[in-house]
Amino acid sequence: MSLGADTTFGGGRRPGFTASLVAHIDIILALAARDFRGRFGQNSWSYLWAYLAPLAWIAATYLGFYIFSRTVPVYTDTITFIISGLIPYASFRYTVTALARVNNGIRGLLIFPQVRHEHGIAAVALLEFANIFVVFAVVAAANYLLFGNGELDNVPQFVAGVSLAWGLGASYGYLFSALGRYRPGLQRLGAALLRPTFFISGVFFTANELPDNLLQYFSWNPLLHAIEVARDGMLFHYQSRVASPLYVVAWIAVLALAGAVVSASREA
Amino acid sequence: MWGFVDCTRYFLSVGVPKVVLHHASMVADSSERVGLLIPPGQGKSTIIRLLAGVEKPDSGTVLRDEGGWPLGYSGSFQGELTGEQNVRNIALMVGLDPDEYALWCADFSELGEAFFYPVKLYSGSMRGRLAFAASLGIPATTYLVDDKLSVGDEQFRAKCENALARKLRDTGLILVASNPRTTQEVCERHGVVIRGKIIECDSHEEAEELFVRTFREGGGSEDIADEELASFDLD
Repeated sequence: MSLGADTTFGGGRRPGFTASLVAHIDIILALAARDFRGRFGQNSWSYLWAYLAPLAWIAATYLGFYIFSRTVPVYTDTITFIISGLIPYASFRYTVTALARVNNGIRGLLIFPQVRHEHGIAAVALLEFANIFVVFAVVAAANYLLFGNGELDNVPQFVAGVSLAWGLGASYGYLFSALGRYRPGLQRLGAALLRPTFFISGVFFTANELPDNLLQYFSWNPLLHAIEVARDGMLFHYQSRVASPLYVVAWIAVLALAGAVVSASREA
Repeated sequence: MWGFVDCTRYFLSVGVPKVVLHHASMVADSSERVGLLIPPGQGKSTIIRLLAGVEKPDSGTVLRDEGGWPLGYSGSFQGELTGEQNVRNIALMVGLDPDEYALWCADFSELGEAFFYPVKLYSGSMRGRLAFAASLGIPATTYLVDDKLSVGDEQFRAKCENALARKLRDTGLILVASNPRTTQEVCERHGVVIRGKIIECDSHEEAEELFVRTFREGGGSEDIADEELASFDLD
């Protein structure tokens, strides 16, 4: 049996752009499949649990609302309001957390000449992008089936908001993953810096209800903008006065560029 | 072209720096079969990882070709995946036909039904068989070998050695080993890593003698003149 006719290395043969693109996509898909199996195991209950866990997160936030007698600042029910903030936040946070595992997960594969750190980043980030919409489907279905509630005013806008939060998480995770290749402590710093984000990003409040003197500081936070875009798209009776998708895109570009520069300097 | 140019690599072991390479140099053509002798625990895997590009030197340059491949490397296997899924995964990463490659690996590894079990259930020997099948199925130009040229029982070891011998007709090899007998048959160039320097020897016998004199008899390393430690073949 002869192997090697399809290989893109070893003989000094340079593939064309399309072949190179396909090779990169193959590597990313292979890594995504590997990561998916590795995280969820061979057991179908593991898959289910991964998607049900956010329900516990929503229940905890609902309990917080109940204990502090917080009323919803938008004309909607409490659970739907929480979902509108938690889903984009989870999109950001899950992506950052998943990317923090890339350095360890891909270490054994970097010995292969074709595999790069960025392949691992892309694979895990794409997996998280798909995951968050499955999570949303599970959560929204549970909300509808259990409470008869559910809103989705503007689907493209909601998807855009969740995608922006994901992009922010992916670029932030990429930067700190690249920094972590120099010093693992820097990656832990990246995780520590995120701790306050749950409280300052509009998960359980809206930007519209913030007083102007607070809003001028809170609006520096790009995650607040992403969550506002998603909430504006999800809720029928909410229109954000601050949401700026371009502001988030600028942050994503700067973080991704910084990650690429750090990574390239490491490779050099 | 493979090798090191003025390379230094050390790591801290219980707070004490342990030198693997110290301003070491060595150049080998992709098709050459080079054997480097180094005692156990002195950095065999680090040298292979430097050549594979997984680790960076603290200073100096590592020369690498694109077609280098670690022989018998099982660190890429994901325990949750079956043997078949793992090799299909590797095939996608390196641009091979997954069906053809999986078939080849199943046949060579002789794992039978176990090929379709998760790798986390494999014994060390089964992992080794799959790893050798996976690496021998890859069309490499140079194999990077960390001590072992074969695994398994006598029959499977012979199979590995025969397959490797066929491969080495047109494939290079960089073998870093602690046992001089390992490098004897397969390598055409020989060297010994002493105090972080790579010393070229004219023959396997010379390399073995230097290795034994330096490391096994507990002396000799102090007798090595600095000029003798000069690294080889940079011209």
